[in-house]
Amino acid sequence: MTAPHGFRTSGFGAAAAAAPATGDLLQAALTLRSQGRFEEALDLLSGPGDFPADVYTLRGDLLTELGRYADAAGSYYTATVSAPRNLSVRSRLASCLRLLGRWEDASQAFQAVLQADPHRDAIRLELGDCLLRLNRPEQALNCLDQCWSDAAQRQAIFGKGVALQQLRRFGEAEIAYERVLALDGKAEEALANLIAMSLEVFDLERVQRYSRRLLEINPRSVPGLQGLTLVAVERGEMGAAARHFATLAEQAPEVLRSTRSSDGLDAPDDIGASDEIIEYRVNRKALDRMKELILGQPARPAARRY
Amino acid sequence: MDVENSVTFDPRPECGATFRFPVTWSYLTEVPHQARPTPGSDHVNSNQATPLPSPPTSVKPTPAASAVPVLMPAQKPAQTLKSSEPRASGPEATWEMVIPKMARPNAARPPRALEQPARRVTQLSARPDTAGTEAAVMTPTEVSFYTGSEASFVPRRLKVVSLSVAVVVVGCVIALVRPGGEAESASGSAPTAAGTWSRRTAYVVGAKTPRDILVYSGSEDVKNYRIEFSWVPDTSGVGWIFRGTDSANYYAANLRLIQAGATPSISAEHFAVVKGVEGAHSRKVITLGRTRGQVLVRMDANGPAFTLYLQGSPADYWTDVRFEAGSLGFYGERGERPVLQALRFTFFRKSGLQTVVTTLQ
Repeated sequence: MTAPHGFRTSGFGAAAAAAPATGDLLQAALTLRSQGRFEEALDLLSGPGDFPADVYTLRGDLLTELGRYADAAGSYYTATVSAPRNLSVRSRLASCLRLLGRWEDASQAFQAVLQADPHRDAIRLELGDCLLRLNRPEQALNCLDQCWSDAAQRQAIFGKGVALQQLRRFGEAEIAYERVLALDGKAEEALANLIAMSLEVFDLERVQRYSRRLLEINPRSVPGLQGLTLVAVERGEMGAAARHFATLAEQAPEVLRSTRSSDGLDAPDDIGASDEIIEYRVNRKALDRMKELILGQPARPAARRY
Repeated sequence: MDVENSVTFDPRPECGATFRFPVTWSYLTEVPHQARPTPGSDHVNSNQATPLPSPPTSVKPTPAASAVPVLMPAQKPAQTLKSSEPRASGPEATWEMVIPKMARPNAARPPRALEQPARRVTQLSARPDTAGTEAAVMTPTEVSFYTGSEASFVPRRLKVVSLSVAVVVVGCVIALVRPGGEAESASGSAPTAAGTWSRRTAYVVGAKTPRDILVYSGSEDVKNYRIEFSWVPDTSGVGWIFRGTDSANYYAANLRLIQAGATPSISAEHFAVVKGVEGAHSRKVITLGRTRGQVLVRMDANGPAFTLYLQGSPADYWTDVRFEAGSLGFYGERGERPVLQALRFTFFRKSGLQTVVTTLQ
């Protein structure tokens, strides 16, 4: 049996009457799960039989915790077959699809859940993520705009900021990010995106300001150190540039190693990231100059711009 | 500094380093720091597959105030008129008439510093004996009895004496006409009873008519609070003040219906009055969804940040650092009193939350 999403279902068929020992089985699996013994709990639920949707749901949960998202999606799908009105299972299936990077399928699944229950902001946030990944910022903006709860406020505003940034409505995006920062002063990602946005319009004042704010929160922040370095380089303040660059090299040497070539560093796959990455390239001459200053060698006159 | 060992530079002479600034949004779906169990509707405990939104941010700690919280001016209302009708719930709200303090700064001279008004009034509160002198310094408009037309007929000293007598007579008349005046004057420095409304007249530089302000006493020293009420959109609108230090220094906001219909449009404005000078209005037009009857209005004042919610959704947000604490209330133009229902204040004090449900009667 193959689900529309392409995953094999668990092969136990639709649940009808639960086996007599299903309750005990479920309880035992939950106990094992609470003890962190996920594999054993999964083994307990993996035998042949005709189980109710709850068992498949728990299997899906265990598989998700083990990082086996494809299997989990199959188990959840089986549960949706036997309990098509169970929104919780459907939302979990959608979440699995999202974790698998199946953005289109996941967005459709989330939209189906929201049609049945439009008050679930957590689902709306995940749908917003999928739409941003699908490069549909208008839809993402519309989706996140419908978030109504206080609990989702910070994240929804942040997502709207990202959508607005993708739409190049930078003024509105900046306001959104500032709102996030007013609600959560430690939202590093908002400041990092503000740095990227400011760099895109080459507003060095803003790059510097947001970089400083970011470094106040996290002195090891790579975007913050990069921002201050490039501002100093652009202004010909090579001493300051060398200091920031040295800190960057100390704090995150892997970043600089991977920037050796133009296709070096990409955002990790497990976080939302736009395909359009703003890059700033420091040429060899500037690098050599910074190296000299860091190592205390005699300095040559620095170029104003690179 | 071991940069050579920690950084590998590209040996090719034409290559440097590339700083990359990806736009990311892991924050959108991240599990909040304050982990909490999933409110599962079914029996199976949820896992991490469905991220949970964070709990609502209630009150962020505000930066430590450098100045003492400024209270409303120590002008004791001469009279407290109690409502004749019993009220269903909440503290008694009363109207009070006070003689406004005529501290009207020169319109041509804008406020010099953002924090100046609060500091100035703080000094006034701290040193009551020098209040008059300070007020004179504070008020750039100098009173002169030496007008050109009168100077040639009446001696200046005589005019001063006659005007002083007139002021005393008017004061006595007011004290006699208003019942309970003696009792009030006996406790002139006592604060207004908490939970009541006091009516004040605020003069705005350049405005033809003064503005009537209803100040909720008991909110003078509160920094963070939430104002909630229901309002039926109308063209006359509803206006409220917050962080008011006196009748010349406060923030204000208002809502006004600009287009009626199934999906009405309203304007949301906010502005500041500093030393009697009204600043620029920030205006936003908001189209509501299908609304029948009342609109739920809520405004959170949280440190320097202010958020306006309409029907539960954030509608406007702004920051302003000029006033850190102060009273809240409502205002009306041309003597109109705002019509609203389900009025509720929530004060976020250090000791805890205090919710007040009251009316504007």
